[in-house]
Amino acid sequence: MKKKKQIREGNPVATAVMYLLAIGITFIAMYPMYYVLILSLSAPEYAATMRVYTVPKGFSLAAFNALVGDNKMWRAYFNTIFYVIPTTILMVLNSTVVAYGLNYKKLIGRKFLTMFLLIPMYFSGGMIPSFLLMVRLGLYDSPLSQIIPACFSIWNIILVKAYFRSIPESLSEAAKMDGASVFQVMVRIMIPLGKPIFAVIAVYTIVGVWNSWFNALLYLPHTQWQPLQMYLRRVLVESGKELNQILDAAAAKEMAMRRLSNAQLKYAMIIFTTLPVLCTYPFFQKYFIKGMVLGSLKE
Amino acid sequence: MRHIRKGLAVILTVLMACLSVVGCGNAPSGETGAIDSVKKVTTEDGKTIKTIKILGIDSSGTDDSGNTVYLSDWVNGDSKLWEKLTTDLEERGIRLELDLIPGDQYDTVIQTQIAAGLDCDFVNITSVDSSTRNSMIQQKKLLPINEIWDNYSNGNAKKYYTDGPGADCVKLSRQEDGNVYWLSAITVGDYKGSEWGSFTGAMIRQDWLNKLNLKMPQTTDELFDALKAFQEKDVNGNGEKDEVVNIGLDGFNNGIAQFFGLGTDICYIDYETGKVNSPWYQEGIKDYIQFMKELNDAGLLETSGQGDEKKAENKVSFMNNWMGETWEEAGIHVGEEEAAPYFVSLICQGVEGIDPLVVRQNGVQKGFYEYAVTSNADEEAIGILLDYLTTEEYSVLADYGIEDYTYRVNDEGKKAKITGSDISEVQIMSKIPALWVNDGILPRYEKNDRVQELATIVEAGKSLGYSETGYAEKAAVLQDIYEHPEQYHFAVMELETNLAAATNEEVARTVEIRTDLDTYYKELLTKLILGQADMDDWDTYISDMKSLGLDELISIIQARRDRLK
Repeated sequence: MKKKKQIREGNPVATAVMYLLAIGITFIAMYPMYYVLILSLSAPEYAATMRVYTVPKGFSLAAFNALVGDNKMWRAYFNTIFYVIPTTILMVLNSTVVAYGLNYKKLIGRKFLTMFLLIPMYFSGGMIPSFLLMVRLGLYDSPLSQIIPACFSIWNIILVKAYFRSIPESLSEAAKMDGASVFQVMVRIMIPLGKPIFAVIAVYTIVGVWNSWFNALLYLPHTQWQPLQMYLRRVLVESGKELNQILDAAAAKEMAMRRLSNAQLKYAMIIFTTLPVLCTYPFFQKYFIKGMVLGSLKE
Repeated sequence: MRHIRKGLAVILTVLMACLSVVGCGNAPSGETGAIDSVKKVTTEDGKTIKTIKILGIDSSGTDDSGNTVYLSDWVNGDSKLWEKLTTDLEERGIRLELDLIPGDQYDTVIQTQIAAGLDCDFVNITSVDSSTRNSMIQQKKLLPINEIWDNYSNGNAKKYYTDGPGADCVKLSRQEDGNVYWLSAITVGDYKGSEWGSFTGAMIRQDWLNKLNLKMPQTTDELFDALKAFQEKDVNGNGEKDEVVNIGLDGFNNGIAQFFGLGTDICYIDYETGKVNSPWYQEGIKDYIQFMKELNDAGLLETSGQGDEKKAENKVSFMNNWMGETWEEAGIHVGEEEAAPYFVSLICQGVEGIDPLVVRQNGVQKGFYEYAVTSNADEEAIGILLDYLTTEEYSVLADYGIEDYTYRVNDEGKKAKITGSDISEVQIMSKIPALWVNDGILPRYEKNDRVQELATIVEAGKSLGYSETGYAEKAAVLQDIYEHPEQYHFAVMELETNLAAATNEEVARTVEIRTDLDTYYKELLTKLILGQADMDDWDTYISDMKSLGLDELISIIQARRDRLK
């Protein structure tokens, strides 16, 4: 019987193709970041043209120098870190406690509560009702407006709930037989076993809070407590205005000058704001993969 | 044990629910939460000082080091200009309390704060749409400013707005009930005793014309040849045929349309007759589209959306901007051997028998930025503020600053701004007016000496590569218009700021019509220029626009214009 031709593992041609493919994909993923980096290191007149493709032209660290000496940028940086840490801790805590409760089979009204949580996940109140709520709660123009609404996510609760359900029930039963209370089962059994899902939620939250600006746009009208992304947005928005649409010659003149000085700065800002969050990924990687495949197998 | 736990859970649940209710009920007395209730009156050394709370934009300027300086930096720092303003106001018995919002965020903040309830006294309402303004008037959230100057002015503001330069602008803001609910900046331009506003229009690279020994084009055919020559002879010297025209294709406000006598928007106002028409009904429309199509077919039009980058790369040969601008050239990167970039305005004739239009502001021009007085305000305090804003003293402070600090008076009695200072605010004032005007917190009452302005334009060129002549040719175009107006045919620059305030019905109908009509005509115009739509179907296009309400829109705009008479 004629044997079917097939590519075997270790085949040099297949390996070369796979490597080339991997290099191509890596290049596609990495080049935009590299492009922004070299623009940030190029002189403003070259950065404005965007015709810098391989190495920086007219190498200049002026934008980074300007950023390092910019107190407003550092304040925005501090604000973002100030929002990321408590929001992440509270998010993991809230998701854990609520998910554990919803998994507790003897909980009265468990189905109703799950449904009660699911509905607003799909249908939110809308921007103006949310704004009015924040005002009535006294959170408008307060840094808490960036933390409190962001530290509770129904989607994350569902993720944790599903993960807890995948932990064999026999473990909890055994602990209970040994005298563990409901709370002890959560602290001693569920939480130690739930590290991968907590890592996933933590990364989601860190990235989400780090990149968020819309809540700040709505609830923080003053720059004092605004996060880094609002600062970046300001630089980018100012660079994107059409000068001949500005209905005042003095304003058009000011905007033209701003655009020139921002040409390099905006790229430096992107590097400055992106690097820290990129650095968090390696620390969570080992948990992250495990958490991401959650639910892919049914036992 | 189980019952105790359940009981505890019930108690905790009830407690949480109660706390939520109590928390929600404990909203601050001010509706917006962040803004505390304001003391309107304070006493200092036996003198009564009234406080005016202003919600406005934290506007900014760029100093010579490229640093962005905000109004809040002036307010919280040691700005002599801000100190002068506040001292002047305190002498008159008022103090400003500012709620400054970053410019990119202001639209969102003003909309949400209006929804929650404004608690300021004086507010920048530029970005608030007509419907919302009308609702605020109906809800009596805005005060009639004309009643304030009638009842609380010392005479200065009343004179300015009823008999002075403000009278023409106030007509534009007067509502159906006869009241004025918002004030705008006012610019009075003067050229040797006659009133002149600013202009926008097409401009071409003078340095490239010089390089190729070409004359300034007088007709669109000559313009085409010049633009073609720029490309074919690689005038920017980068080895590529990439010199392009950078103008908008989806509208008429691009300079070239005006060469064919076309207005600047879907409807426009003829400056001389006051008649409203649409470019779609004008004689030169087909010739304009044909010319643009030829430019596109010859590869002379920028269609990639990278116009700004190409301008910085020294690839833009032609653009539309404020005539006499001096700020675009600084952002263009040319080779070391090349002459410095130099844009000069030009007016070409597109079709025999049709006068090109020059787009102009009025001599007394109502500004774009608008400010209202809310129902929270102390009318007497606002009256004092208006009296101060309409003084010569304030006008000079806002536009020129402080004598011998930001400007000097020369032998001819003309004010000249001081340049090259080490002080950040002086550097900013050398280029733009004080940071609190324009889109900031207070209206600007500008007196623009056009003769002085021409000298400034020439002077700017001396530091940008033309040390001998400066930007003399830029200024010459404007000077010719000032001195020979009879040779030009004008269109009003901006539609909305030159019409009487719209009624509720007009606002609703205009929005309804323009939503679809603007989309239709912009797409159509782009397609016709790019050759994606056929000129043979012209009657169908006009019929479509009529059915979308073009004629009704013209009638509405004409009615609003006629109400000014």
